[in-house]
Amino acid sequence: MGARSTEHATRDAEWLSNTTDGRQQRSDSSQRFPVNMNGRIPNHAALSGPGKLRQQEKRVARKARRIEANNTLTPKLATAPRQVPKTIENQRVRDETHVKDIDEEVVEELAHDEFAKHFSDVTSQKVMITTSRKPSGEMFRFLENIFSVVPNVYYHARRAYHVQEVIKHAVARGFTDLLVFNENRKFGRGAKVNGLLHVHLPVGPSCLYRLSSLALTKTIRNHGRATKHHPELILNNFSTRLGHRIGRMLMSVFPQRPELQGRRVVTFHNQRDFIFFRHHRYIFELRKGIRQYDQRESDNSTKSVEYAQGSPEGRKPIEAVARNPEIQDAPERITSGRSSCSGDGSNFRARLQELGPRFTLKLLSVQKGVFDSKHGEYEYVRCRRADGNKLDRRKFVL
Amino acid sequence: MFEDGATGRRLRLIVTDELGILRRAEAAGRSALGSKETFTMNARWGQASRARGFVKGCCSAGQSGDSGVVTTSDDAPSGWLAVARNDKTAEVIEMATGAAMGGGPVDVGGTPVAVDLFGPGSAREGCRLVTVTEEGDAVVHACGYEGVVTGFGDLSLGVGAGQERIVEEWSEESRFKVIGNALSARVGGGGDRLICGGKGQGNDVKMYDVEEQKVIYKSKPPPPNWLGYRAPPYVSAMHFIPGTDCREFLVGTGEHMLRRYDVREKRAVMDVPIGEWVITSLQMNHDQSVAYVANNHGNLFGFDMKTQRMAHKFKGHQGGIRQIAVHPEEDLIVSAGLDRWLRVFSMSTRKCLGQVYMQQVMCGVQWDARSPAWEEAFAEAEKKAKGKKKKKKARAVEDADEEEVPKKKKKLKKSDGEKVAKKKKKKVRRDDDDDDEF
Repeated sequence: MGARSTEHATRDAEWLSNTTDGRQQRSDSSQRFPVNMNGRIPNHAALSGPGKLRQQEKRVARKARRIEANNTLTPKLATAPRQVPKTIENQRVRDETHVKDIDEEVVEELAHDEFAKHFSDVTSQKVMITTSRKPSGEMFRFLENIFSVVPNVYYHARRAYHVQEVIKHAVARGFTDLLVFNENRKFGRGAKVNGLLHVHLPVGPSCLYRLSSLALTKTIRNHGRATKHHPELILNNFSTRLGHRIGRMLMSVFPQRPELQGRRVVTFHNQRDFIFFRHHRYIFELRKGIRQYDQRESDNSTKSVEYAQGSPEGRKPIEAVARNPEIQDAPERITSGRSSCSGDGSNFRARLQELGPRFTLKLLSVQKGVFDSKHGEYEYVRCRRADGNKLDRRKFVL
Repeated sequence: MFEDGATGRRLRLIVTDELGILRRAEAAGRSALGSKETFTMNARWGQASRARGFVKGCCSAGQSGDSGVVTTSDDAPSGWLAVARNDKTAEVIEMATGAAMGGGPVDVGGTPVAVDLFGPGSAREGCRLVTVTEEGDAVVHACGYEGVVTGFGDLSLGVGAGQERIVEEWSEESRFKVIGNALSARVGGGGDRLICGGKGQGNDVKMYDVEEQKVIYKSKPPPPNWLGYRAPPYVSAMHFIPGTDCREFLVGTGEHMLRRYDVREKRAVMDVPIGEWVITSLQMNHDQSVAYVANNHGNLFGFDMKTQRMAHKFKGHQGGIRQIAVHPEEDLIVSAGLDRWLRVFSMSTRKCLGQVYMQQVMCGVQWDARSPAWEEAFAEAEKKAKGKKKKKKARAVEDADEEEVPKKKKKLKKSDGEKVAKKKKKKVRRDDDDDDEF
């Protein structure tokens, strides 16, 4: 208490001294600016001629804006359309590769592609993880995180095997996916995980990604610990045919049916061709100050799921829920749960807790079959000129 | 050079894809291409099935010696397309209607790697379909024909021309082993000469006489390098150089070497690295001064045969190319591949004149380069077919108006109508014969 008062006192003293000095300063400034009778400097004094005119114009415009703003607050004009800012995303150039609606061609492709078995529940995923040669400690800390994210995943040491040998062994052991994480240097200090090779087995395709902006779970503030439930998946903005393919490939790493009681969500968010990976747990809880609640409503909310608009398999999880006999009337509940969460009258609010890790992927190439860097067929090779985004920043491929 | 608009023909492309669907892309003409006009996909035939998907690069409008297409008896392109499918079959398709000819697909007993068709214009009588399978078997199917073959379909029957012209079904004529692991093959010289190349072992290239089933030429491998290492053969693309009477041919390898062979020399007379990836398709321009080399990484190069250097590139590919095709008369080259865009370039300016999104991963592409005369005849036949349909419809409506008949009777009436239509078809057929004078 005492300390605080002394602080105040010193501050006051400073202020006083400033005021006393101020007179002198004012006399200094008087050399440059004319001083009127009250000893105050007029605002416009420094300007004359065109500058002054400009200032006056600005003032008029400002006033007009203020009046306009006041008008928009009145109920009559409140319905005026709000201006949407121009962003690269909402100005995106859409060409023929964009999937507008699921037409015959898309359905045919989905029915006959390499992931059709996974999505029709014929096979269940089984993932092999390996690293580049001579992995560092950092790599293993990262792999621990990955183990908390992907179910049914097995680590195999890379040793000195070629990727093609690894693929052969993985196929023989019934794996459906192979993830090879790469580091920028071998065995050394300060090694960073910087790449991901994802091979879908047994017949491909294989994708090469650059991995960046990695934050391990430990470094994330307020992070939680992931449970072993199968996560739900959110895929955002995979809008082209290639995007759909990549989205399906990423989905096939995870089990087809989420265990909703786990409230775990894995997100692949595509923005400007960068795929952001995030891992969260969500919870619907009572708003502050509300003690009692309807039991039914709470049930709804815990089972509600968020679905991304425009994601290729956007409605798949709902079907999965609907097929599950335990929660048969789930779709209705989902809708009711969602409305109760988002509506104004709701007693619930949704909260997220990040579980980590987080990283960003950038697609470099897609190969048709399993990985063969020398003789493999490329479905897509990143080339800024061919992709069109060298000449037009609003063009994207995913 | 070709003057713009000198030929007012429509430009047609036939594309095969991985799901076994055949598509057609069309543009109105060469003159406005690239500015006002572009290609549009306007027809598709077949049902999606990966098992019946087309084999990559196995799509050929025939290769009969000097010209790149099968010719009919009046030396016009026939509009027939030989294709191979993953279910170990090969078939011949009429490009205008997508109908299989000669009694449908034939079983070749192995996954085909190359297929070629020789029409009646070739040295021997009848049609020959030569297929080379992965196991290294060459299978020759023959098919007789009757009358004047124009390659022109009778639309009123809803089938291709071959259906009634090629009266017999395909029958296996001969089958013989050519190489261990075949990867690519070509047939030339009117169906007489077969070149094939494989992967892993044996000779790089062998040439066979199809008639006598004998080896005519075996190439020696290229000399070992300074380390004493000799790369095993990996022949991924082949192309006869037109105008050399099947003596010279180009070979592209998986180790990105472009070679030129002359039957009079044991070793390749030219051996140049080009690009860094597996060469998938080879073509040459009309005066054989430039070779076009496509690879599986999305590069399409123009290679100058005189200076033996890469002359230019065609830009814009996002994924690997599976087949390229040069238009027999215009200065156009088309590429089809894994990025699902069909791109047409001008060979002289190297500009992309048109591109169309073909929805699925493509396996092969060919030009349908039939003459404007054929086009007129085709359009007329189409009109007739349509007119007939309309008449038929009108008649059905009249019937319905006259008296309200129970369903069974209606069916009967329809069948009557069909009989009438059949009679008319015969008439049309006669008309067609008239059209044959074109």
